[in-house]
Amino acid sequence: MGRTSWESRKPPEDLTNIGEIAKFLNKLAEYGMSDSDIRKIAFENALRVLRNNLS
Amino acid sequence: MVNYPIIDLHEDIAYHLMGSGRLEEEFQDFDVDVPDRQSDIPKLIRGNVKVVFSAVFPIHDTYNPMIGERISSGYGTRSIKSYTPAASKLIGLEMIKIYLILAKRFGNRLRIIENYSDIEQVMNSDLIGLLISLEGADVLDDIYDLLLLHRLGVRALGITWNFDNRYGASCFTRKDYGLTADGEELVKLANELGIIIDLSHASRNTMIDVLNTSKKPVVISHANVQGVHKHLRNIDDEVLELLVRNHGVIGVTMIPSTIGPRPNTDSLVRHVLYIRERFGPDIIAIGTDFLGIEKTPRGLN
Repeated sequence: MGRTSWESRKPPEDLTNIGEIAKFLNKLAEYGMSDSDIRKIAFENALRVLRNNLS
Repeated sequence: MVNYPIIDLHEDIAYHLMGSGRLEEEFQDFDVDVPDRQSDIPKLIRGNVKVVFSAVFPIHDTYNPMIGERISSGYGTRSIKSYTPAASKLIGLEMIKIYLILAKRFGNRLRIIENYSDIEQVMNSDLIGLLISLEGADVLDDIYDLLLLHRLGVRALGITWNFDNRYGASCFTRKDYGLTADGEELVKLANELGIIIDLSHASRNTMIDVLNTSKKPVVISHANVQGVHKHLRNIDDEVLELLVRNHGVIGVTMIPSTIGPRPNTDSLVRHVLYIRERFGPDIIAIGTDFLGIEKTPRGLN
């Protein structure tokens, strides 16, 4: 959590809420990241950690 | 347009809902798409979010300028605002209850994640999974309190927030003693129970000790990297190397001061590219910290 007044004044100026998270994925694509890497970042890597802990 | 499912490793939903009661006239329920709110059910749906690590932040606001000024200086500013882990068990229980209430009230949309089959269910339906995640072990009077919290649904456990505790040193420590003997036992118990260890806010030595102790992959749920922007909350290359061996992940985060002087998505992408170039794409995830990031009033920027 970065809820302190000193740590964080506002979210990134062009990504202000979770409804806009696809903007971040699209930005990764703009920078040349492959579809397969973007999928990993969006959910596949986290899914691996969940599977290895919760199973 | 890229639009994959999202797993968000950190949102402060309970903290937001508990604290917003102070502004009762503006307070709206979690199923309302509130303008300027960083997360709520309509926005989670719009973002195609499938699982949210839902933080229990068991720390209370207080007046303590000595601590407030010390911590704020680590963030390059000056503030007397402070926090205390006193009463963390009670606050933690109340926050867990908030998630249970949300799942009951919005049962058609929210589901508490208790095991991997719950994950599979939310990934293949319209449900959104809430994975209850304790932000710091201050709640635990002894390690076996974790048995109790596991029963209540906790499935991720941070070692510290910004305070040192009996389990480990925090990123704000003045003497980095790393993971304690109790901390080691705690990590082992969490591994046994199927509770994911979260290293955000931990000190460098605590991270290294946990990464050498944990038999399961960990998350650094919401942090960016030192190699792009120096910050006490950001992660250095040695820890990232250990994270690769652990098969864990770091959730790149929207906390502006950890991103850099120009906190926008272009700057955040630099953190992602840095990690990918040096450590590959398999340790990168997303941990927004939405609802834990304060906003300035509009027009005051």
